[in-house]
Amino acid sequence: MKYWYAIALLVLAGCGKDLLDTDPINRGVLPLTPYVAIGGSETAGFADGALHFEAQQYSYPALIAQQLQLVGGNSFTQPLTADTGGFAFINGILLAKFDLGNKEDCLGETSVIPVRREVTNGTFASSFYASKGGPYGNMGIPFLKVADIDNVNLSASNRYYFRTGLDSISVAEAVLAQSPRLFTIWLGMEDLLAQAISQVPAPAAIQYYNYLLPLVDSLAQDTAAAGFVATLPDVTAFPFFNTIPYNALELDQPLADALNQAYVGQGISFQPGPNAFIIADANAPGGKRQIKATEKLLLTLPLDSVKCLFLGSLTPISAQYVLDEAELAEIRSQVLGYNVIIRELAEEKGLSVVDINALYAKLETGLQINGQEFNNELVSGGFFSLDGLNPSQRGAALIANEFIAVMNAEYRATIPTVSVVQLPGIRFP
Amino acid sequence: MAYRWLAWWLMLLGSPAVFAGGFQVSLQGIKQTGMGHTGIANPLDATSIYFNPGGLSLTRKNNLSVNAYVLLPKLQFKEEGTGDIYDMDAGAAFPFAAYWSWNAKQNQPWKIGLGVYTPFGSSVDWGRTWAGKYVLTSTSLRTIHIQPTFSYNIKDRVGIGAGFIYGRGSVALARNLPVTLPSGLDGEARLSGKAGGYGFNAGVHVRISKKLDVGVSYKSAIKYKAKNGEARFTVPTALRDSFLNTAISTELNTPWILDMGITYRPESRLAINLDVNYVGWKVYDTVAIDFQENTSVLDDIYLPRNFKNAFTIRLGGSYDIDSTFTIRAGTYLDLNPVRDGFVSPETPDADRFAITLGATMRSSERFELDVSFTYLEGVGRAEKQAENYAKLGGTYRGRGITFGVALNFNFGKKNKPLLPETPESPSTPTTPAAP
Repeated sequence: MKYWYAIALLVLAGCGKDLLDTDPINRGVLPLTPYVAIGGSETAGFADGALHFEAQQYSYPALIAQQLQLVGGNSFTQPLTADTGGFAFINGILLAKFDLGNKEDCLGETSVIPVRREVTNGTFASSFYASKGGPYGNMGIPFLKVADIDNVNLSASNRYYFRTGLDSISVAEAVLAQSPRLFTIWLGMEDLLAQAISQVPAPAAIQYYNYLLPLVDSLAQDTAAAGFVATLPDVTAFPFFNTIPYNALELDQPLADALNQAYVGQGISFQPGPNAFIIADANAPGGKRQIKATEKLLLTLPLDSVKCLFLGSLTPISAQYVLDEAELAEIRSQVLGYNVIIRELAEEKGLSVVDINALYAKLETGLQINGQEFNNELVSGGFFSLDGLNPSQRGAALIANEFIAVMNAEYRATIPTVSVVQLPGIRFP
Repeated sequence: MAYRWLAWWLMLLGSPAVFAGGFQVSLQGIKQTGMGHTGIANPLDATSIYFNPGGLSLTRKNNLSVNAYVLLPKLQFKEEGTGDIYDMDAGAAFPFAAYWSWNAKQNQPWKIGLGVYTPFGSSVDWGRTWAGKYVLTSTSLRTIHIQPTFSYNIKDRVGIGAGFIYGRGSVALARNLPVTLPSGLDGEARLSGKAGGYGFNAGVHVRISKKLDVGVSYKSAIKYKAKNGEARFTVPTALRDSFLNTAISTELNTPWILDMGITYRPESRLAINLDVNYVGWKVYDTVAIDFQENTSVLDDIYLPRNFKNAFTIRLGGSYDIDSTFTIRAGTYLDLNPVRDGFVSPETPDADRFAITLGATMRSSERFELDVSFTYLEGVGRAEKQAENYAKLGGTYRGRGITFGVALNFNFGKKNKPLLPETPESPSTPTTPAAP
């Protein structure tokens, strides 16, 4: 009987060649190198609330470059940090990245939420400075606004730009110095997010056009270059603005009664169960009102104050944590306006449009990839990193695949896409 | 020790998915396998208990037939877009079929029999790191039928027979969960269940002439209801309350099979079989898994399968070189029951084409040794990501070979001859029917 097995193995060795042919891979007529990516935080690989090594390694430009290498592209340089907790400067404070961790709230209940890693001076110093001042294929600079593309003093105001060592030259100059043959542009996100998070008005659509034009114009001078420009998503759909429900004020009967007494005569009433939070609104009678179901609370809302200090009930939530209807409408119309400009510029200068907005729009109903669903939920949605704003590594892969799909379609290329589910997921404690 | 050996054997019974339409295992008798797995109208020995109980009473001797196979599969998947190719871990599998037939005296028109065989099975292990890991990492489906059978013939011309089937089935599925453990590995869900079910296998054999036989048999669908299955989850500590290990109940239907065959003998040493199997896969519509304890994230599962009924067309034959040696050959085309959009890594099914070879050596009237070989080639099956039920796009392709060997022990004295020596019926009616 053993002979059978031996013979079987011999025969199988004979017919054991690969059953499936490898797909032909080809760059078509796409120029591959030098490749430069221009953008903000998402492009830089800023994720989980910080610029950190793992997210940089799997930033969407790095993933695109990795796939381009399969068809003959060169290696890609990024101003990498050391493999530690990364860093961010929020309101002048140095912070490390978020991890999912256990955190005890003011009521003594422990839950798993994004928690910042401890910053240690040693690890920070070793990871802060990037080498040598470039050139960098990844010219994504965290928090880069369109108005700053030509700013030669950006190092003074943007510490992420400062650390790259690109002294006294602007982002546009640093890009053009590399004479890119292939470039991707995704700009405007930081302007929209600054308006949504910090009420810093984003430039009007026409200004947006004027800021972008000189750079795009110079890049397009090289008629042999291939350029791709991405549309912008509706940032108000991001988990940062949708994780805390408008009606997360849970009350029992005595609390509801007490609040009804406190608000007697102000046209606000509370019931046992979920209630809409109280927010500050200068235009409302008494300067406060209940938040509407269509309005949004920011993820930075101090939840301990909500739970233990009656924030959102006795004390109204201040406007910095709220996106009201007017603000939401304004941001959404900005997005529409910018996208019109993006398409117009692309048409004018012969760039290809990558509809990243359409990708983000699919997250609203859920996007299934190989059995995993990606949506707008924080953590479980898989697309966003722990800051609720920037893509996770798998999110970056989905973005990279959109670029690659357009490259393939418009330049007769057959560049393989990235296997999304093979990238690192969001780690639980 | 014996018990351990048995457990090891049972673990290997499942047949890799590459070998038959859906999860049917078309390996029920070495002689038939050599002839493209035909034999519905060609009763040879106790294997008729499976192929056509109607033909059993027309077989010559009391017989014990023990059939064992080695399956060596190869299955590949190429992910759409990325072009990444993954190999299924293709371990060997060892399905078997054993049959015993008996009657008290040589010329009695009846025969009883008992068959033990593995009609459906599937075993797939893609590993835990492949592109479809959130759809399926491994599955194993096993069934075993025990079939006591009675067959009766009328004047050696028409045989009818039926068997009661008691089936045991077990199914296990594993997939990764898209939650990442502290180690960086994915979480995992493993589901398993076992059940028993009942059915029947009935058939009619008609010996039209010395040269021509026809047969029809029907194997019923069988419903397996697993009530005490279990679901086990490996998830991060923080999610344990959402993924409770719990009891599950599920139901699996194996399809009915309508087999039709013709056997033609242009001369006494040559037999040519043409069989058609029509398999009622439509019963395999949904896999429903009911968790006893649902949580906010753990709803009952409904996996759409949406199979359609499917045909297999088989042609094969045997030639007796002399009284001690018979050679066999055959071929078949197995049309798959899986619709576009529902191709899954669990049954990555495609139309298949096979060629088979076989031989029988008789050392005496009492002992025969059968061997068989199958080469099976599946066409590539491409599934578009946008249209797939689990949004897993790519191309599957399978290939495989089997080796089989059977030991046949014949009991009792020299029986009726292989072919009835009754005079042939006149080929034309003597009196035309009155108009």
